[in-house]
Amino acid sequence: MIKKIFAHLTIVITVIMVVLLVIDSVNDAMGFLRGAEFKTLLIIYCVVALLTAVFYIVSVPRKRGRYVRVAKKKPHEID
Amino acid sequence: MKNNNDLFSPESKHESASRSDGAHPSQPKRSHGSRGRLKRIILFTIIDLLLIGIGLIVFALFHHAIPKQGTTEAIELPAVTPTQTEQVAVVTPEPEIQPTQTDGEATQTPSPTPFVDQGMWGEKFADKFTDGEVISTDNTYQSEDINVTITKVEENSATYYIADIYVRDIDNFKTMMAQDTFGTGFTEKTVDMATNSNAIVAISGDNYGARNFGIVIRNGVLYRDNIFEDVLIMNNDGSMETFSPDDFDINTILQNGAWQGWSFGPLLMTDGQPMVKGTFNSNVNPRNPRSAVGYFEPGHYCFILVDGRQSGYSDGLTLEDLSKVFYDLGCTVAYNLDGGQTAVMAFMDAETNIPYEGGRKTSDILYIAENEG
Repeated sequence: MIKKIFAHLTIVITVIMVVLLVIDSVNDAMGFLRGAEFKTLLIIYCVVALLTAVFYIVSVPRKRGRYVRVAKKKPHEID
Repeated sequence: MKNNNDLFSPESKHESASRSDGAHPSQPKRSHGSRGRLKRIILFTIIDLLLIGIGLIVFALFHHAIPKQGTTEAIELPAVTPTQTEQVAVVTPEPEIQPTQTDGEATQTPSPTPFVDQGMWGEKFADKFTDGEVISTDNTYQSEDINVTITKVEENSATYYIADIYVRDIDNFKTMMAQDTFGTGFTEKTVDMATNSNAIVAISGDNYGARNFGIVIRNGVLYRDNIFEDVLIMNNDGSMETFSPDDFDINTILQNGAWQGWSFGPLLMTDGQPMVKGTFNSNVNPRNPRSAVGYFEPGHYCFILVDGRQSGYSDGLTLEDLSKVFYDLGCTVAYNLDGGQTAVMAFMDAETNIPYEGGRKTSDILYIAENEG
């Protein structure tokens, strides 16, 4: 569950940052990328992305192990 | 476990024939699991989009909507020196001896003041000012210190207003911050600020409060000195200069007597010549509502307010068009301020232009007003 939440947070913050980058490229007078708010958002994004990656890495070996076990089974053992 | 061959059983065929999703009967029916997954994908997509919207609103709130008072210490810059003010000697007639009918004794008329303060540009623009009376019409204002003429121009699907301004003293050219406070997020309507400051004519400024960087010098006080894009400086001798970020040096401009400073841009003229597309330090070149200030010579300025984004009334001007307007007027320096929905001009407590979508609040104005006292 928490893995999914972090994955969605990564998507949400990524899109927010892309929107800000696009606005800034059109009109940088608003200074969206220069303020402390963007730095805060960047830190949050790093933390969320890091946790998402950690959760993913932790979960992958289990799956691989399961697939390996399934592959090693003889054909008649596979239901 | 259900075999795939079951799909071709008579029961399955009957189900397939009566399917309401319009799919071919030979196609396997989408299971409840995949339909549920599709619903979940749609649901989570909607939730994600909502969170993105909320995130952007929260970002905007903290970035520029919630007022935050400036924390840096404001530095008062040297005021206008007395040598910059013209002291005009008035030839005073010899005191007349007037005989009186009562007692025959001679009385001496009061001696006139030996010097009359003409202000910085009172003599140069003497024909622009009155002797003390105020003459005001729907689009003009003339007093002993100020001369303002508003001209409406309609050409090439654009409507813009030119305020031609003469002032006797630099003190007549003022700036005001929303709620009289330096900081980010403090905003007021241009016309309200103009009314509160008794402005004759006012124009929306650089909206410095939407950012926490960029030069801010107001009425001889330095509030912020970090650079952002092109800069306009008004010196205490009444001259105006524009700087690109590479040419700008805060110490030099302070030594030169900076009195006002704005950060928005781009600058619209170089060496007194108009600029062409591709040479502006801005990406916002298409036709837009615009607010800009121009400089002819010390004491003579102009504000230009361009309406735009209103089909059938005014589409606005490009930066190139605006640059040419200033050049045709005879300006030697011109500078673009915050435009779009922010662009508003007020004359005698009323909005002169028709702002896009009614205009929006801004954080500062440039205005012309009589000196109090």
